[in-house]
Amino acid sequence: MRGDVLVIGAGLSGATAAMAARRAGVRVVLAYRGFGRTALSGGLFALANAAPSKIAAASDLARAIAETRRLHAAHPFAVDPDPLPLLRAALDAWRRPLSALYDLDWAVAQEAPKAYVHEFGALCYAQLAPRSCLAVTTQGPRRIGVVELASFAPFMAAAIARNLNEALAENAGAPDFVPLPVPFAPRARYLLPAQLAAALDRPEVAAALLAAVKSALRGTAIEALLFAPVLGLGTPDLARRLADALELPVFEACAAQNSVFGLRLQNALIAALHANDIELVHESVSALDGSSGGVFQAAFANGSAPLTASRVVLATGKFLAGGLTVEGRMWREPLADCPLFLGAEPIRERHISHLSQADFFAAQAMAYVGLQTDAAGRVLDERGRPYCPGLFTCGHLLGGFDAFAGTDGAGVDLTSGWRAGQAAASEAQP
Amino acid sequence: MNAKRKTETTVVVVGGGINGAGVARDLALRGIDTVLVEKGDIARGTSWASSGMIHGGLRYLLSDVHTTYKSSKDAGYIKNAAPHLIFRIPLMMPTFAHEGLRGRVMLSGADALFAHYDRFQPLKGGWPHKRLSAQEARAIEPRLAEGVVGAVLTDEWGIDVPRLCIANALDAHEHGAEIRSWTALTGFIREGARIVGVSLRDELDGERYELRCKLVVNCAGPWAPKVAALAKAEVKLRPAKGVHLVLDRRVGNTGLICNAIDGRQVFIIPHENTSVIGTTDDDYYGDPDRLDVGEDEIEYLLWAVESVWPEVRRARIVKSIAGLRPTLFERAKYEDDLTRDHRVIDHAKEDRVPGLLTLAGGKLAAYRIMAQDATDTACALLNVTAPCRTQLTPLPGGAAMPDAFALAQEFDLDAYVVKRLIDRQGDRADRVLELIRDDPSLGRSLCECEPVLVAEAVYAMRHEFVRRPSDLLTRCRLAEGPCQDMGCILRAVELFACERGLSSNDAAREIDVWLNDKWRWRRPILSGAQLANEELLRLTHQALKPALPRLGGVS
Repeated sequence: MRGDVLVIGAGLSGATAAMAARRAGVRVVLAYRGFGRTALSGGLFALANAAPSKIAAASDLARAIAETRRLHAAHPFAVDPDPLPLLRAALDAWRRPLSALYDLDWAVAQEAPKAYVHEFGALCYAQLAPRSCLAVTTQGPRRIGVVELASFAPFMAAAIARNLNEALAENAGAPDFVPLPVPFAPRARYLLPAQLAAALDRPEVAAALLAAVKSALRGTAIEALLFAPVLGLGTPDLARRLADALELPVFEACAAQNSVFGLRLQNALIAALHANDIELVHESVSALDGSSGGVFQAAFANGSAPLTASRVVLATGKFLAGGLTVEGRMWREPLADCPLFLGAEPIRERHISHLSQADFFAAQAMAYVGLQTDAAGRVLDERGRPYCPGLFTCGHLLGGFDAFAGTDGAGVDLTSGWRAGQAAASEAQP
Repeated sequence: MNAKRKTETTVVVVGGGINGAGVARDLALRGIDTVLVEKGDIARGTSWASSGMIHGGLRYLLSDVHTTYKSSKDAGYIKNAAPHLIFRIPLMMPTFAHEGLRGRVMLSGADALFAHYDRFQPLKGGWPHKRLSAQEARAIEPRLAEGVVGAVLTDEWGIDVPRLCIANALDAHEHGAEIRSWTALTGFIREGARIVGVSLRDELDGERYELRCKLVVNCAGPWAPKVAALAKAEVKLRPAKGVHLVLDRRVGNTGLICNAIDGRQVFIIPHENTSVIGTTDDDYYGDPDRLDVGEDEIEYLLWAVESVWPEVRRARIVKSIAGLRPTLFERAKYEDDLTRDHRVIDHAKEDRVPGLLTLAGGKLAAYRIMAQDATDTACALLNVTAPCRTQLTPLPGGAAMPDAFALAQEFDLDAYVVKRLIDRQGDRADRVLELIRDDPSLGRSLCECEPVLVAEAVYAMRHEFVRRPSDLLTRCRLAEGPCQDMGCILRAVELFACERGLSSNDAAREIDVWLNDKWRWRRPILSGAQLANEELLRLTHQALKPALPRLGGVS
């Protein structure tokens, strides 16, 4: 098989790169091993500096990005003269394909991050979030029931309600959260969130949930409902159907990782790639050979015929999807042995344990380690020159930002993905 | 609790490991007023870092048959006192073609040795050994390395050591002893040469106070020299560091005995739904509070296991554990050859410090008899004639083994979940389950990778000396499963905050303490697939760190 541009990785950054390249009119093949960081994410779109303590300093998106560029020279936002148009182009491209899940409105994206109710009773900040997530405002419903499903372990409604009420106590007009026990128990106990969501995709299970919630609501003055993020695996359709049937707003708590939001997002990305004539190869690339002048050969782990392309975008993520590995305690990018950086410093010879810190919450090198690119997304070598002609990268494989903080991950995926996809397409030789 | 603190007792036991807990129990069973003080939580020193096996003393068979007899008999006592905490570990010792004649000779030698050991196995309920052909060995463990020529199969008892400590402490408490965890010994009170009490500091609220007593029994394991030094007495140990690695799953049907590069034996044994590799044995000269795990120790263990089970290189290591054996001081011996014997030191005789005993040396499997020896000495000094009863008295939970299926049906739970509860609580499992009758929401699991009932954590908080949320780790194995916490720590702290009325800042601090403790033991082993786990785990906590208004929020 042959493509003009080969994208490796189907997470948010890889899918964005593929979409950008496809828009430019070249033939795009996307190979992916399995679900990685995006599928295992919480599905929030934290675009830039979305930590609450920083809101006052950098309220709107443009200022947040400018602030990041100023403070962190090796941040993916800092390699491009202006990442904002890239971000906008990427969001615009995804707006329709993801419309069932998100309202990716550019005007909303540019506002200050909003506080979303998290499944541990915290508030998580992001510019954009799945439609079914509850953004805390002072104008919304006043009395919100936190649904406690008897079968479902990790969602502790009473504690969540108490946490939220305590956190919001000083905000006049903030909603009041009340636990609402619902005696709904599918036969198997100890379901994980995704398992319960899969069960709720079945109409008879969803109907049983509706009936149970209906009777639990009787005699309460609850104006809206907050569920654990379990209302269906494929789409958030169940939240809407419940809302229609109960005649009140229905929300799901957001999550930081390993959630149905991530799975829904991943499924929607795959569907959109299909719909845009991007060839998908669901196989694991085991090696990438770019030594034969302008043509890459990608070999597959299962021995399938290799794939050739004139340009390659690596979007293999950090550790979750295997974009970075540690072999013999040394960091390595396994497909093309790309040079690794910690900030602006190359780290090829440095050992993982020497770079970690004893304090769990201290800035850990493993969060910042990764590849560096130029303004076109080309992989750079230790001296800052292109490492291999035609090799691009994007997303969480990039270093220079805290990949675990969840404050700008989606912003990095979208801007760097769009940048790499566009540049790869414009350089590709059909 | 300050108002209730008593200011006088008969015996103060220093140290909440298996020895301290065992001594406190024995003293309490003989009717002696006892307070146990421990600077951290129960069972978080050497006991926590132990391999968790109760050997019958195979290693003494050739040199000292009597010790093997005593060890096997005592292993039998422990097994009968706490049948719920015990699990059988079949152990296979394979021999490979590349070991040549030496291997075959060793196999025959092992066969003969185990045949001799078989005579002691009935004392502890063990099975006789079996000599296996290459085909038989491979049928049991298909993933053995190439070139197996034969094997010997034997068995030993595994035990949940932290729960054994808790059970001993509980029994002591139920017979009148007081258990004070997170209470550091800061000095001794003397009248002339004699010790008449101890100065203590509560590590959680910082309060300092005194406790008068007739006798102090120092059971501080590797910290025993430090404790003795506070009384200007001397305890000479030659502590040896032992490191274990924990894998994310059970990787075999049996435990395997492997040869390390220096000829020592290293085990890989199934434990709960993980596997444990261990251990190293190296002299340690540093501070017992600053143990860490080094690169070379990890490599030493993996190298040893690799020769028998090559796939270990691809296994996911979820954490490391390091501990110190409080071995007695001896010169000119290799670590492995140091005696595992114990001593009860009366410092009146050795250092002219009356009123202080030290229980030093020993090994897990001998804890009961060690406690008996120390308590006998204490009783002689106190003129108490009550005999030891720990040989045959069941530990809490150990009087009977409940039927997991019946309980599961009664409380509408999975039998698997109830069986795991019984493994920790024994015949007290129903006390935990009764909580669910009143509040069905306690029948859910706190954890996503192992079923840990909310009820079990609540029960532990009420009855098992839990003073801070991270104490739950040893009470109910919270955050000890394959995922090593994807949020169960947050839920547990939340639960604790509800139960005890913890402030937001205190809850945030407790989360930090717990996460840092977990990180300490994960940090040395980060590589391979575990990095993916670390990425997910950090997504949970780092995204919430600034965001939680109550749990770990910005103050």
